[in-house]
Amino acid sequence: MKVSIKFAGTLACLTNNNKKIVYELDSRSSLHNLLDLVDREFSGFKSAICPEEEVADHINVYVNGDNVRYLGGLDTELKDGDAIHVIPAAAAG
Amino acid sequence: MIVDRAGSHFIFVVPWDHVYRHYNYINYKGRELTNKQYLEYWGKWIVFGTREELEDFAKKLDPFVESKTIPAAKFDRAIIPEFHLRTCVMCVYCDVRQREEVWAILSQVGVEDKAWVFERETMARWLPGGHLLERWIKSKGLSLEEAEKVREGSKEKFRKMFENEQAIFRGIDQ
Repeated sequence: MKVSIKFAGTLACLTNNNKKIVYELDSRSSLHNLLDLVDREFSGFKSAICPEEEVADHINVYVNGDNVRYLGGLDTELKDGDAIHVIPAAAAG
Repeated sequence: MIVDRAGSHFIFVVPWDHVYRHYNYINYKGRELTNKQYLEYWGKWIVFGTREELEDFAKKLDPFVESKTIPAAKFDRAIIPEFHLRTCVMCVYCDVRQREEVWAILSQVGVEDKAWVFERETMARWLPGGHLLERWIKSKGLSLEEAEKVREGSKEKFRKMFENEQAIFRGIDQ
């Protein structure tokens, strides 16, 4: 399955200024798996976003518009076509 | 109407009735929200862009705000350097129960990225220990004493605002 992940604001600097990337994942993959893939390509990304195996307080991650803190956190299951958006929490208000 | 007041960081898109007739746009299907309901249901779609892009969105959303299909919106007049976003942000407000209806309009005017934020989340970040408040304190270089005053002030402000759960929510000074 294919999912897209976008990085807003200064977070794109973690991915060499790639603001949107599409990844191919196995079916039944989770956000965790996606972030691992991103980290494999851009070392240090995962530790910046979720340093202690949960989304850092200064970051919000959305799947199709919903904050993963209200879903399954890093275990949020993804499906084909999902749009993931990583934004600095400061943008939220 | 688009309300652009000198001295305000934000530019607002609110119904004319709100400005001239005290219409409360914080409602769901015409019923004003209580403090409790506000915390449970009120939130916003976040939109990123340059000031010019957001102004363009604001003009497109204005008729929907005027017809009260979309309750209200606001956007940054300029980038806030303290938050390291390098972009301006627009908040398009509504009750979560009507958010997909509002999203359909946003999508129609060209917004692509979906990010929903409950107001209670934003408020938590402006309370002591909250990321936004602490970052703001740090950016101002406040002394320990001044910082503590700011924290206490924030806590007291929100405590007073939401003291009575059943009272109608009357907004936050911005």
